[in-house]
Amino acid sequence: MYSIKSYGFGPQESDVIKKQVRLISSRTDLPWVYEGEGLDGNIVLAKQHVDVLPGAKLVIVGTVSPADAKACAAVLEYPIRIMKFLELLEKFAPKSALSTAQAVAKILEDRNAPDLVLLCNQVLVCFKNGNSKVYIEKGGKKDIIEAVSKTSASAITPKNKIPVKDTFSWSSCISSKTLLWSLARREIGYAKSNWSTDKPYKLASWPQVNEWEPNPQIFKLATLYSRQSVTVSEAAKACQLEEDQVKSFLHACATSGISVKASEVHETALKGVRELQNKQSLNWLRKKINSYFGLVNGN
Amino acid sequence: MAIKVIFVGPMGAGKTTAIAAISDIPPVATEARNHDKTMHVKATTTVAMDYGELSLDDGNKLSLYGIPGQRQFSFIWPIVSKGALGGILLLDCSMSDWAEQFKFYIDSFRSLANSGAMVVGLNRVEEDDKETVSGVIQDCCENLELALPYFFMDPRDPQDVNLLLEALVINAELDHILQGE
Repeated sequence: MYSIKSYGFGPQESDVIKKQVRLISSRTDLPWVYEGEGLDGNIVLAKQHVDVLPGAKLVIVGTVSPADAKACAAVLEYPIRIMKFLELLEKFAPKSALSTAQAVAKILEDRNAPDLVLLCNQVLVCFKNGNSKVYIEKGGKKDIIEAVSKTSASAITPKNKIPVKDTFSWSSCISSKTLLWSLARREIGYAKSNWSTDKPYKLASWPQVNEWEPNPQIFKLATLYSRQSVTVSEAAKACQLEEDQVKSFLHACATSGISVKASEVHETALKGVRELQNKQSLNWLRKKINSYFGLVNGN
Repeated sequence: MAIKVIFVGPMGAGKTTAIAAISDIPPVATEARNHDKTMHVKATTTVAMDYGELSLDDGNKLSLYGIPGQRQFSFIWPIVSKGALGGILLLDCSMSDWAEQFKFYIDSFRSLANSGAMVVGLNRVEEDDKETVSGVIQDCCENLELALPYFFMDPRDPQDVNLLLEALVINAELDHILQGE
């Protein structure tokens, strides 16, 4: 619950605010509630400047002096207009700590949880924990990834469950791990801000990249991070990738259930990191085994 | 120039089959009648080693050695594995003790595993069981503090065996980088 409190309002005014919040809360992602007078809510509405408790955001209702306007989080006209109030709550809603991929991982983590059908980008998607597969109402595997990736993390919750009959037929399915991997790999912005460039990381187990994303650079990254701690910048050099791509790889590993351990000990000794494709010594072998990834001459 | 790769694993895991799948020459096998039916019901088993080769026009070759899977031949394992580029551990996951076998063979070839020069081929895994088998392997690896590459594969399929070889090649390339050549 996210609380709204008021300060300095009369009983009738408080009653109006309470009714407005009740109406608005059905349209917001977060469950806002009005909790009467006080200075300790997530948002405190006041007619003039007042010192709210730490963590609370002060919103002055009515006309304010320029000095007070600077000292508060926002200003609302009096009487409060409902659409302005809604905009304010959306603006002040604490941002979800989870990305869409992580929200999906969360609902899939309990294998005994019941099947969950959600509306994702206008199509029904069914998350079946029992067999670790995700189904779509119409379309193919790519459509599942597309639909879920366009859904916000806050919408991926059992609260939004849509009831469907057991006899409902689904068009196609994808393994939950493949979906998680694909979603996380798209979240480059999230990965960029959540993974350090200079901190060494190591994978605790092997990610099934040959099944999730058959790509030579990703395969090299998986091999590198599986054997030792290495920083994002070093891994990017070794595997000829952008640092953001390496971060997205780590984010995808973590989201797909692979434990990624941050290490204070810098194991790696990437002396004179050079491009892998310049290492010709094993290319003849790669050519001979007709590389799985179509790598010929190290390219 | 000769590079050696060894195939290790318990009896019946598919070592001889995997070597035969990719070898350019008819594999040299030392098959004898299997007297240990408690371990595996197959009629014959390797008693010394298997040998196959991948050869190139320029004379280079990749030697493929398969160790005998029975533990009474374990004295030969260090001899065969000496100087190997890496090892391929094959496991038959339809056997109830495959996870124990995994730990045993990792322990037996720990130096290869520690350097990342060991990959695991998981044979006979039904599609619906892959998730469970992955979970078991991941738990084992985390306990051993190793993150070994593992792949679901069919030893009869050359492409599957080549993927295992490719993982070893990439590891060897990384060695070059990490050691600054």
